[in-house]
Amino acid sequence: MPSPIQNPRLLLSHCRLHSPFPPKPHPTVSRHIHRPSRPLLRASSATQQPLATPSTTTPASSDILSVRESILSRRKTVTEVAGEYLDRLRRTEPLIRSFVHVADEEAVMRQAAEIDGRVERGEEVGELAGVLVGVKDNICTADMPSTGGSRILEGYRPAFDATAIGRLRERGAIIVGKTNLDEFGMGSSTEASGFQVTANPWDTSRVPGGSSGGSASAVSARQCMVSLGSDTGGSVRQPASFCGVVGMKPTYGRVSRFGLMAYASSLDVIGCFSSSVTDTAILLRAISGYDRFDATSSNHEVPDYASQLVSVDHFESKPLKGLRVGMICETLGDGVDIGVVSSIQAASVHLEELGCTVTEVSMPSFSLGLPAYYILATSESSSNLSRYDGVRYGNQVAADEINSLYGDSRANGFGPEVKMRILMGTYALSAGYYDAYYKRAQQVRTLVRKSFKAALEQNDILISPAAPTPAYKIGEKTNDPLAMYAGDTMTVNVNLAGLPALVVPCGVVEGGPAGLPVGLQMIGAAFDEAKLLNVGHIFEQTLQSNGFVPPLLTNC
Amino acid sequence: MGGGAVTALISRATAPVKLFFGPRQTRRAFRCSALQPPDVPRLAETARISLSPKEVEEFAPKIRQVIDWFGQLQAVDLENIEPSLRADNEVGVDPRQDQPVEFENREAMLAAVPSYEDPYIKLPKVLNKE
Amino acid sequence: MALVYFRGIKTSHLRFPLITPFPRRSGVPFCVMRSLDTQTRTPTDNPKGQVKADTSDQPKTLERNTSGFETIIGIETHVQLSTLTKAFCGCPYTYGSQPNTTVCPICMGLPGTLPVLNSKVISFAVKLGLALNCKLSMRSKFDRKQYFYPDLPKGYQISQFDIPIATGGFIDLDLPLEFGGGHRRFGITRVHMEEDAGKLLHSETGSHSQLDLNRAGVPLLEIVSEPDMRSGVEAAEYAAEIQRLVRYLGVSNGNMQEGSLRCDVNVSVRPIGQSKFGTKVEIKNMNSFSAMNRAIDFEISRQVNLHNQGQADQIVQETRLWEEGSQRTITMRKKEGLADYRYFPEPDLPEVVLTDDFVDSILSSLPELPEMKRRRYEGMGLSMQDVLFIANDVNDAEFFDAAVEKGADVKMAANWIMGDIAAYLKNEKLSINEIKLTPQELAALIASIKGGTISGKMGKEVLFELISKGGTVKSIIEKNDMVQIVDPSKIEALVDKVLAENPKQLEQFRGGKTKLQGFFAGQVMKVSKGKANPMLLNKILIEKLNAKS
Repeated sequence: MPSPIQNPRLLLSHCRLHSPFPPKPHPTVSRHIHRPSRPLLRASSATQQPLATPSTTTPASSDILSVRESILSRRKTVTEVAGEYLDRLRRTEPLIRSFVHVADEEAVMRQAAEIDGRVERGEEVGELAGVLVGVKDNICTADMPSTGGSRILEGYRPAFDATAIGRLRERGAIIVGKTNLDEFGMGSSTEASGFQVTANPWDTSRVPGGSSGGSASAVSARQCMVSLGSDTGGSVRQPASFCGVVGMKPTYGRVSRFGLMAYASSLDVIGCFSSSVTDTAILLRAISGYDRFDATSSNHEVPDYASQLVSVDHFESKPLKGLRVGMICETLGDGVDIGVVSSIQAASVHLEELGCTVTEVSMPSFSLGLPAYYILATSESSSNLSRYDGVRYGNQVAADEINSLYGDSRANGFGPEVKMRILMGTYALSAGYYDAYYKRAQQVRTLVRKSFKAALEQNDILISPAAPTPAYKIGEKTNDPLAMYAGDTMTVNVNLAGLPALVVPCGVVEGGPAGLPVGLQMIGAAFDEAKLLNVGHIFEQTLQSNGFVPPLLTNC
Repeated sequence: MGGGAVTALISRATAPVKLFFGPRQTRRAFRCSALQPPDVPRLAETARISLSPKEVEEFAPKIRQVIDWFGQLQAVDLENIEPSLRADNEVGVDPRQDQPVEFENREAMLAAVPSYEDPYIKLPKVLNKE
Repeated sequence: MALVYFRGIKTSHLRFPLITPFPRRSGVPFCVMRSLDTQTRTPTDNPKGQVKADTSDQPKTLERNTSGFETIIGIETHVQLSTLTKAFCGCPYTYGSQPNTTVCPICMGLPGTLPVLNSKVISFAVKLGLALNCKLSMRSKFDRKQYFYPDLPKGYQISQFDIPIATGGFIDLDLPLEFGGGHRRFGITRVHMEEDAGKLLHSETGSHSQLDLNRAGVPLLEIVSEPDMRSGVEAAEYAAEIQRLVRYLGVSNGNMQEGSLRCDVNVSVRPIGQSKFGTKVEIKNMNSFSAMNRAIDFEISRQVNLHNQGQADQIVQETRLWEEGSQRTITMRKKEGLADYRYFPEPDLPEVVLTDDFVDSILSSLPELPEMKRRRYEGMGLSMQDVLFIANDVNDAEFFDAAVEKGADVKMAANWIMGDIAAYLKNEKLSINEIKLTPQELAALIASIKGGTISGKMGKEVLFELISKGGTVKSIIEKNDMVQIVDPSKIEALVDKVLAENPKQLEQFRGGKTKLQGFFAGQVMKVSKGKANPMLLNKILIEKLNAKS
């Protein structure tokens, strides 16, 4: 018998009561560029179908709030909750390998017991008390190794916590481990990790996306409640889409980067993964805010995002009435998977049913964003990774002369993708090439910013796919950098402009044993995370779905 | 949900690469420019990464392909457009005051140094700067 | 006085000809003063008619075979700022700390760390920029200068590249008289903010190196001069003036031995009339102004010699180190092509934006600067020798100003400060503001002497008591019963007594041995215990000696 704390979705999967998908709907959208091809799932009509139809839909609910409720009502202890998660983690980990380091069980249990003690004594507990968090391994944690997915940092233990980690700990969160990633964030599939390949819980022959693939698959497989990732060009949003979880890329400067191993400093931001928008809202608020250790962090006020979310019971028939939604037409063009296109179009119809006005917006500079992004990212990374020289930390290859020590330590420690990006960036920043590459890319960045600004003056939010395809097969693109880079086309422009974007699962397309999830990207104005979370929450609550539970959980 | 569907999906997925290259002439324009193509061994030396000959062979065409693709920006008219260094969102206006703060965990930090001979970080022979 | 001035620039140029490997012959060392920069930058409204550089006035002490050649010298000066914390982290920095103790994850370049600018660095940069008469960049930024070297933890130095905080200024100075004197104005190309690197030490055996990162991240201002200097003396004086300036401003201790003030000097020579510049050679490792002077003159001679021997092609672009032991420059490294530092804007730091209010507040807080002081002292009637001495040390200058303000005679105040006080300070290795003597009491002392209350000789005694024990002139005079005897009748009685006791000498005097007047004066002073007013004493003594008896 499942315990009361059990997430309804887990209950669902454990009991195997239902087919994972509702009956196949008919494509109904036709005014768009592409006819949707067999979306396996479509939005319910908020007006026609009652929201509370448990037999067909189980809207995402907050793991954080339900755990908190169980703990405070003494129905369950943190120790029990942690035990369940660690148990599931152990069972699923051999299949998906999300973690490069799993926390010492005793340490987790000690932290859990400590919170239980506080509850028992009637003492205050933090807002994230007992929340089990997975942390991307490029975010520094003082009590665990932090490798950035790189062999050069194998075994490295930082002497300090990242600011975001400190904020989580202060609020009572328990870190269950460090998740896998493409080395230093350089990749889109997590295959470029220096340690292991992570599989997608929806189909273990497929990639989880990247670079925060471990964090996305860990949340998808409920190995932890929420997780932190980082997003430089889509590294939170694309894996969120591939793994069917909610992914948030906050505004640049919203979350301190202190303790995040830099990939491309002008683009990097720490983001979060959850299985519900409510959890995203709670987690985002916890990690956001000005930090005196990050001069690029913002002191823009941090709202209580979660308290502003409208509860499912209060939805009017048109809860998003008047919201202007712009669908970026360049993101639904040639080369985008047809299932993805139709899922997004279905999502657009769903938004219209919720009261939004959806119009197409064109951003002509959109396609320039991808090369501009890669120029900036490789250039900045070539500089940011200079510090990994084997002298002060990390793996050193002994040599009798310093330049050999550098060359060999770096050759030994970095993987091929990192090496290539460093070399490309070194090239682009060379004297005489700066104006042709870096500077031009920054000028394109200005164009991109301006076009987003214009589009967001006409619209409250913009929507697009989070990736041009659903999860692809492991090994499919590893030998073709440009094919891999093309997968970032939906997301990089948002980083160039520094805007916030939320990805919520919106559909499932054919592929794998049980279909593959597709995420809808919603882009807002700078520091307008609250709006994205509100829309995302309503969207998620009114979407007919099984809650995007991967088949792994039904079998494991 | 057979393998066929997956294959179709992937083949579609690789298609957009061309789309994002932009117009053909942009690539030609790049080729005509005075910029030299990347010299991988020299870049590797600058970046202090000792590449094996095999790696040079493997990386060179890939790097050249990407640099070539970067080159499409040469054909874009960007005159009078200011470069943006970053997103330029409002940042915290809290200049750091000149007040010392000692880092408490210095021992742990020095413990992570691969070759440490108290009180110095030990290094092999260092030749002069380039 | 000349010796004392060597506090400013400890040049022992007289020793130089003995150790230079090159023969020297008489000639005009600063033969070429046709630098457009120097000339055009000299203001037409040269204050107080300060003597302009006049090559014919140059001293002939330096022999050199450099006639027919023009030397061009530019200087890059790194000034370590006397902030409490480093430029981009909160680590304290104290010179001489145990190695690797003033470090943190940020200045060690650990993964995930970010720089946050110390706001004091900006105010110090603005101060110096204004003091160097520069144009300020109201919006500037930081850039990364990239190269691999173990003393550079991040693999890049945070610096400023294309938009330095200050540009296009100048600095005025007066050459010491022993170098021929004269006013100079040298152009300042730019001032920018950057961080220092750590220290790399090489083991005795040379088998390995040791790294101390205490200094990594300490804030520096780099001052780049125009290539306006023409000799070692000018270069050394330029550096000395920079030192005075940063000390006046309180932005650095300017200590060369500790490396708080480091000068890299670019030297090139070319035959007069040749339009192409000679090959530029960089000299490093000079830790005093006199070393700078000698190193540059050595380098000029070396290059001119090569020219004269038809081996100009052996002058290559390189960095040479000044070796204090052998008194010569040696090759440190050749520069093969231009180093490519792959500069790009530092993404971790926001732009540095100066507001008019901020600049105005700094401008209004600037102290009187050395050049202004020198011109004012000149106007007060001090000799250039005195002017240079007093203005050299900001503490001396402030002390002098305060004493004058309390009514001290200008010349006498200068003399006391440069004479007995300076000697004492030098002996005790103290600064004028570290002794118990106050400007007020110096003024009182001078007034007491001038007013005849005490003699000059007594004055010295009072001075030493003031310096060592403090107190007031008045109380010391009273306590020691030092008040001069100015009553003519009392002096007359003393004179009578001495004449009566020395009849033989009186006889001799009156017999024509007038030199004995000194003997009598001394005896009277002795009897008065030194308190007789010397003027009165002499007047009365002469009357009595010459009186017909």
